Amino acid sequence: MDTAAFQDTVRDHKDRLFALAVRLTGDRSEAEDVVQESFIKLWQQEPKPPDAAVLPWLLTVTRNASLDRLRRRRLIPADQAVLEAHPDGAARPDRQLAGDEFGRRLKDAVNGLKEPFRSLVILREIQGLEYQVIAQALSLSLSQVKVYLHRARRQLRHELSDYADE
Amino acid sequence: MSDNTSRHDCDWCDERLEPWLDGELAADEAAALERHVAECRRCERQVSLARRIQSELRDLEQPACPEGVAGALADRTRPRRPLLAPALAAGLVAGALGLGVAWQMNRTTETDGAPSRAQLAEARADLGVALGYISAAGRVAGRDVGNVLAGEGLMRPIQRGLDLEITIPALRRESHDMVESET
Repeated sequence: MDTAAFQDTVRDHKDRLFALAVRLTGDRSEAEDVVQESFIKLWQQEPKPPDAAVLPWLLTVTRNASLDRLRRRRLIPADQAVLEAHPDGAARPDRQLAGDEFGRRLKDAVNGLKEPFRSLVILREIQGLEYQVIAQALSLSLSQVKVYLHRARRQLRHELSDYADE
Repeated sequence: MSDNTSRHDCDWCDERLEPWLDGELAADEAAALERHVAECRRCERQVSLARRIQSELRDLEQPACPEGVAGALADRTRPRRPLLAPALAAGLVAGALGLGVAWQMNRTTETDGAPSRAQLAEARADLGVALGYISAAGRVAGRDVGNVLAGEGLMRPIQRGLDLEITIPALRRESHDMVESET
């Protein structure tokens, strides 16, 4: 992988890795560090993963680094701040979160999922990644990915069951 | 719609709702679930809730990676200039100069005794020029290699060969002074 190919890889995947790291760590600054570390590891990795395996490889490294940082901070997932996409952490301009109680509670519920359920929801339900990529990234079989994902969504539904009466 | 469906059926549907939404249920199970949902308001609401959850998650905005990250990565992975090539060339030139000076000094010493002050000054000036070149070449290469080469690579062997106490700043000053005195 030469420099140009590496830069292409960074451009293609940095947003996805950053989104995963932000949602796992709850901290944009830490997520930036994690993303840099992940790409530097790829740059230094010999031999490089084949092209089709680069994204799962990067997702694995990013997820592991994010979870390591969480463990060091000894955060309980339910105590994490609500994750926002806005740079300064305030409510996003396009969504009045103060008035969108369902969205806030859904994010809290996602944050409260244990691993690997949380990563599965982030990668499949939020980022829309293919099952095969997710399976490689999380070292799960295809059937495990589907079963675990169904369990995670059922757990989310149960946590938000009071909204079923609306 | 009726709420008279047994809890067993509702629990059975609850376990299969997500696979059904993903099209993962066998045909006969899917048909049974759909029949139940059509008759059970509670389970129908659960289906609506499950779909709302999926929709909300899909619509979540993806945080974009700050551009500074890509820039920092580009800096860290940019190909470096051949660090040693210009500095090595300069070092070889300076080394040759130094050896030449040392040989000249020794030859002079053998035939005429101790080197004169003028000879020593000339030797120091030559070395200063060479080391200045190394330092400039090092800056071009992106690293400060001047002191590295001028230390173990050059200075100490010359010091030993010439039996001189030389410092780089002193050499540069003398070289500068020599140039100044000639202009």
